[in-house]
Amino acid sequence: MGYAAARGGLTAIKRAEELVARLRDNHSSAQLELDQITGRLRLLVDRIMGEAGLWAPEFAALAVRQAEGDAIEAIHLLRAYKSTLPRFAVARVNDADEMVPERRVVPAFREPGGPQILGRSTDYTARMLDPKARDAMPRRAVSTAHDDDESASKRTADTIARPAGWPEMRRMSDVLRDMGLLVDRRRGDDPEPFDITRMPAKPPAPRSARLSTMARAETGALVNQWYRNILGPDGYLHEVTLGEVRHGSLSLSVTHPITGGEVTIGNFRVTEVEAIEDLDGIDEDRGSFDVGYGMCLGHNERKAIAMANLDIACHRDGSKSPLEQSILMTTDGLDSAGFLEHLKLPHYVTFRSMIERKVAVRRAHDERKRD
Amino acid sequence: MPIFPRNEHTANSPSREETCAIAAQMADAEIVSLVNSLIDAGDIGSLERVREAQVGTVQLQVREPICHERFILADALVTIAEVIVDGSVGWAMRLGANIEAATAAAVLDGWLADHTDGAPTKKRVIDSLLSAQRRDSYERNVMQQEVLATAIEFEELD
Repeated sequence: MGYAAARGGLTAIKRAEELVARLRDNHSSAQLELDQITGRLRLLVDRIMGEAGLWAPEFAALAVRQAEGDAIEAIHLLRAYKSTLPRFAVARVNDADEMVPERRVVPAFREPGGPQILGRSTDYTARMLDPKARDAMPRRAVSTAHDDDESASKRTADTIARPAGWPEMRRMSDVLRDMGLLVDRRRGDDPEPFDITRMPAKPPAPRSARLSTMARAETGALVNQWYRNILGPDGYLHEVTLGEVRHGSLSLSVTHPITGGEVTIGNFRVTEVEAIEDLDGIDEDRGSFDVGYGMCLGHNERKAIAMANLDIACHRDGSKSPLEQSILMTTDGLDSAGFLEHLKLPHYVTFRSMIERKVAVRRAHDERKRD
Repeated sequence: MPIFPRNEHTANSPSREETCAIAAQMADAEIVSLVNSLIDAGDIGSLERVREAQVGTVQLQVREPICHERFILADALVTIAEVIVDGSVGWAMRLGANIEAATAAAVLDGWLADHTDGAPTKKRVIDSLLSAQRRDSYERNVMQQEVLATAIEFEELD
């Protein structure tokens, strides 16, 4: 290898790689199958896809397995793989309202438009490790809203041929808008969104660049940005109220090249959050609220909440503070981990020059003392 | 992955986009098996690739509800295939990286486009597709019932 004017050690490097692969692949336990990882470690897979910026559950699982569970390493593998692929098309633009929800909570309002649905959540569950599950995870029965009148096992394809349709879930920002309590920031134009995979975003950046950056940001980095702004030294954020926390699916539709018609080839899951801000600035409309928005791939509520909070904070800040720069330039996991980990590579030349400078300073100091 | 409501079949004879959507969302093994059965039965005459099937990405954009502004959420991994079946061009794009399944879906798209409605074999194939769609609708509905069972009504304390 060669880095910073150092080279050599190729045999040792190859042996180290082989050692990693052999100890991982030859472990005495059964090999982890990819569907086990996607099915049983779904939140990890979702996080990998979100931070890699690629919806590819099977390949995210492959990356997790190859990286021995190291999330950042898996994200690196998946993003590197993505960089080798051509981009065929832009899918039909999804309106966020098209989401088919699997979960929806509205912390701001007890009775929002439509039901609140906990879905697949442990929000209200005591965090108790289950020692009984050490040997085998028990298979559990399905419970549904129909259990009172019809057992799940009796339902057949004939009795439930088509979905009944979801109840309408009016989003909290629309409720506030109808009440005349929301600052209207709807745009009349439709600018092309900034593509952070083609050009790095630097402040001042369009909002689409900030949203894309946060959607792909490292979850921990984004949560940390939020927290240091709430309780830490930065303080550019208020503690806001969440309007919507949703997890669900959006469709992926493309144009059939022969007919020109629209074809839905599948769907992908997202998490979406609205963060309601109580405007109190001297130059703000104090009789209104404003809302920040977050959406990321997969089920990752921490990330979407932090994103929505930081979105509205950035808007209110108007690039006056370093907040936007922090978000755009320090939250990418691959950037930060890559820079951190490069410190492990040989720095012999730079450090030798530092030693030589120290020795020269010491010698000059000693000579001055002698004189 | 469940077959998504968009492009869901509603009429007696599904459109080309609808059959293409169902073929795109069937399980890998299922679509390959369906097309192999047509080849084995001699229902497909000539078959050639327009170009090699290829793995790539599609960009996902979302219009957010606050400023009605588009942003790029991410990309999705897809495989694209284009073939000529008995002189008719067939195309498919499927999520994931499975060349064989994408090619099978493209073959089916071309084959269905080349056959008139009502032909017995085509009717059988359409029935298979609709059956797959019904099965996924059923699974989706079961999941919906399970999710709706978690609907919650909080009470405010005085």
